[in-house]
Amino acid sequence: MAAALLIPTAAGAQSFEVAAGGFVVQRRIEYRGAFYQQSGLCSSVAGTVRAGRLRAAWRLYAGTLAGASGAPNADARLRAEATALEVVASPALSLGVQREVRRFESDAGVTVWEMMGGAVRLEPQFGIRGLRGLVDLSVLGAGGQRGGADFGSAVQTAVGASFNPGDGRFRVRLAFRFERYDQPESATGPQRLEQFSGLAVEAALRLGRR
Amino acid sequence: MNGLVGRWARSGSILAWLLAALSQRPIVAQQPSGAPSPQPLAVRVSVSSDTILIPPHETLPILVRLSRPARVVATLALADEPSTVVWRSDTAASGSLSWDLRGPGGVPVGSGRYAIRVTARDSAGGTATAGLAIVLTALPPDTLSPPPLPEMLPETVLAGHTEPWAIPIAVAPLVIPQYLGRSSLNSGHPADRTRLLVSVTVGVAGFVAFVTGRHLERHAENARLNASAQADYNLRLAEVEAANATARANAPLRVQLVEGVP
Repeated sequence: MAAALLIPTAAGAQSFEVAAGGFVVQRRIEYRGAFYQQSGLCSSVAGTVRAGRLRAAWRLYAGTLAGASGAPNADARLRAEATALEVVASPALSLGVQREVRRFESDAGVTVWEMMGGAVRLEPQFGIRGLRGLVDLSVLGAGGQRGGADFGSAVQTAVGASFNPGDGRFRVRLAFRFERYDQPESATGPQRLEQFSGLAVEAALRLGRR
Repeated sequence: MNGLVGRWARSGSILAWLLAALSQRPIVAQQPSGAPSPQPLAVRVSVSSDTILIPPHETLPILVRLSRPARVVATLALADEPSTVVWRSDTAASGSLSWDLRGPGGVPVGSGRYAIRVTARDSAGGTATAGLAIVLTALPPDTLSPPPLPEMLPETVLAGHTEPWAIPIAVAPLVIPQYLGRSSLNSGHPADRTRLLVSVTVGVAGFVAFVTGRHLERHAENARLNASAQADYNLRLAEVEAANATARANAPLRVQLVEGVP
């Protein structure tokens, strides 16, 4: 099983991929002993350029999260922009670094997170041509709230499957996305725990050589 | 087959030669002016009227008869192009000349009409000529058919392809919030139902892949047998091609005397 991840990939591949999708997100917050929950739909667009074993990706998703129980759990407009640079070790394994800026805007004000860390992606074959699994794990150890404390823990993960029918130019992906951000108690504020989870779907079109 | 044709050709050629000798071409004799000669120089030439010869082992006998000793020059040329001499013999004796059925450089001659011309010149300066025409027909060589192509076995076969990745990936959405999340954010709160959707979808996809997944797998034993069969075929083909090349180079020639020429 592990050997399947280490099959060398063909060098010299050049491709460009555009994708669009959505993230049915549920946000949970624990702050000052209170529990808050928001939910909503974020739309996403993404672009990926690959040259040989290097892959650069950009992703933007934005949407509105509605509070479940009104004030002080107000609605928030979310906008997140992530960039990543990856090395494709094999068709099933890539490693890279990721940077993300996430912005929350509500009636109470604007909060910006800046995060950076490493990422691993596994896309093992399931046995049917074009059908692959997805395990995406990012540990964003550096960064935190702008003007606030750093995160003690910032982890993003997505698990699911993707399918490339036909010649593989078109791809659909279905995943469960889960994110955890721990902001420890500091001089600027008390402990704040956050968690995002939900269904992420995406459709992509690839141009160029694989 | 070659031996049978050879024996027939040899016995036939002797009989035909005798018949041809009786029907040989008229003599043409020239004497120097003022030189009295009791017996003018005369030459007769004959070949078998119809024979089959197999080069290079067999040759065409050309019988030359002289009325008295003289030097004999015999040529064989294309009938339509007398200047293209295929074979030439220059001898001091009469009797049987022999043409090896080859042209210049030992190249086998092709089918066609050829003229044999014999010129005799005696010591007194008298000359006489005689000629005849023959038709050569190259008969088809006795070649072998190429061996049948070997029956190849498939070198790749569809084999069941199962990957266990679907199992942990299908289970992961169900356990990630519990193990990766904070209990204070998950315990006592309704679970995110989308994780169940992803889990079931991946599980079904993985099960379908487990049942129907196939991939091409190289069959080493078949590949080895194919290589052996191909090598054996190549060897037999080379042997047949060599035998056929020899047969074509030694294809039998039919030689027929043409009446009334030149």
